[in-house]
Amino acid sequence: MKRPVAIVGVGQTPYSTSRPEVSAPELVFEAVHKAFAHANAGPEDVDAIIFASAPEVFEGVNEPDRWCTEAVGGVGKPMLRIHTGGATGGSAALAGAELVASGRFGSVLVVAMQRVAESASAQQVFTTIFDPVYESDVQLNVITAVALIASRQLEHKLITEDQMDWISRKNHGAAALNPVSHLRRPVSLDDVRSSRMIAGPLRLFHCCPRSDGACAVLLMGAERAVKFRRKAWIRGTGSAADVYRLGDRINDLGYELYDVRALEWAASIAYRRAGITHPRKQLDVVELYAPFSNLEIAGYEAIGLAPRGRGAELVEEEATALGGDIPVCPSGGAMTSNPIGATGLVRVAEAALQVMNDAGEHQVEGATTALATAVGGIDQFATVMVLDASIDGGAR
Amino acid sequence: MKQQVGRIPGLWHIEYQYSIGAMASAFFDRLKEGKIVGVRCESCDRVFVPPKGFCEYCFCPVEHLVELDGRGEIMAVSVVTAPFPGSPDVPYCVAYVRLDGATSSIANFVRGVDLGDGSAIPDSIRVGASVNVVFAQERAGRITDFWFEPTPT
Repeated sequence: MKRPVAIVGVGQTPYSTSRPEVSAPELVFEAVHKAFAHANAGPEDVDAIIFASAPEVFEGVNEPDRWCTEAVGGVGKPMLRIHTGGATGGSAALAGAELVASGRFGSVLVVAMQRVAESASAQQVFTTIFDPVYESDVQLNVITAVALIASRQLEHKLITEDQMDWISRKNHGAAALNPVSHLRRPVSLDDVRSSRMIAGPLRLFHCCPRSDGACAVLLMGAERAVKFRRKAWIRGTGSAADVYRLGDRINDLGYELYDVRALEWAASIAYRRAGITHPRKQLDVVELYAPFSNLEIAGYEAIGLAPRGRGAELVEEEATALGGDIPVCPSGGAMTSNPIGATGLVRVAEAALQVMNDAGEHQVEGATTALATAVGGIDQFATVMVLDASIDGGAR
Repeated sequence: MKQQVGRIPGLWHIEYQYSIGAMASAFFDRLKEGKIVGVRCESCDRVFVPPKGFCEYCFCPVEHLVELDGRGEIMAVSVVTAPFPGSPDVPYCVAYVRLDGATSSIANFVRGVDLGDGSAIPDSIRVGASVNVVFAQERAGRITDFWFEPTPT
């Protein structure tokens, strides 16, 4: 970053299927209010606002940024909306960081919201994100698309169903320690194995829930950040896009359908900027955006925790569990709370809480360097952010 | 006293006419004739199925249509067992298939296989299996005018 930027406060609503006691702006207000309380800041500390939400078809209200302007304290201030599918929250955080790093604004409030279950069927909504000419009629949706990816991972023996089950158990177990998580009940391997098949090989517990929630993150340039108590310094960021149709990613440019190559490209940029050369050693904790068990294992490879094709070894070593050498999603992750357009920002917020030593029961002891990722549009858009407890990354 | 909270129902029902362009129009016109076509990039020789009007690798317009023989290999497959609004009766099968002569893969339903209760993928339609394109008797110029079936052994 040209100018050091810190996250000085984060706010999250509880995630759940529904929050009928609040309207969408009230939900957003709750997250912003919590972020201000966490930072000991107020609207007067905000120079500009980035609002983020993904398909508005979930809420059934077009241009939700209009609806939520007052709730983010936007009146009289620069405000814009960002949307990159599931990566939306990550893209919003990266854009906010760049606006502050450039010196254009001293601070930016990033706010993300999604109410997935206001619509009758999330997958009916998702059918509309596929190519209307060639693919919508085939009823592709996110679950069937991810199941298609999983079929090839399994056939190529890169993962097993047992390893997918372990990922689900790990994340549901972690979520039980996170007070804002949507699903908070630990599940056994037998629970996962006996859960109903949704789209083979994906069973219910391999899939994220439909979540409602909002998240806010307050970013400050170094000169103003120093007066705030909590700080998570942004050490490096990266992002990348991939092709639209999954059919164009099979055996393409040396990659396979299941290689999350947009995430790999994004991570390589962020690591170069952050001086990360051995991610598994240099990172203390990872908040990986992976709403499905099979995608988490592919994600390990994309972010360099394991060589390509060997992500499942981390499962066998139980390295990514809370207490392992590289915990992934100690919050429970996207698998246990997935307010789509907010989920990427939740990863950033959770990674920030870890390096602030403020994550509560799911704190990774001594964590000073954390990674937050986001992917959207079936791995089409990806963002990566490296966060650190110290401004110079501990001079590592 | 705690306030009871309410909800107000909503419904979006908006009709569209999608502009599909010359390449997709050619694809669907040939489909009505019982043929599958792709488009070849004359610069890199990639064959895109389904066709589109440009090659993103060479970043040039493409328009050279090529006919494929309707045989291919299953690249990814799922048997869907949970009903979603608008989906066919479960269980049903969807797959990405790379047709012989194509660079990219195309999605469609797989039929002509007993899926049982849908809990397992039959060997005849696993990843790597050979399939043929089968055309509907009545064709409407949509992707559902054809589907895949296992190649008879």
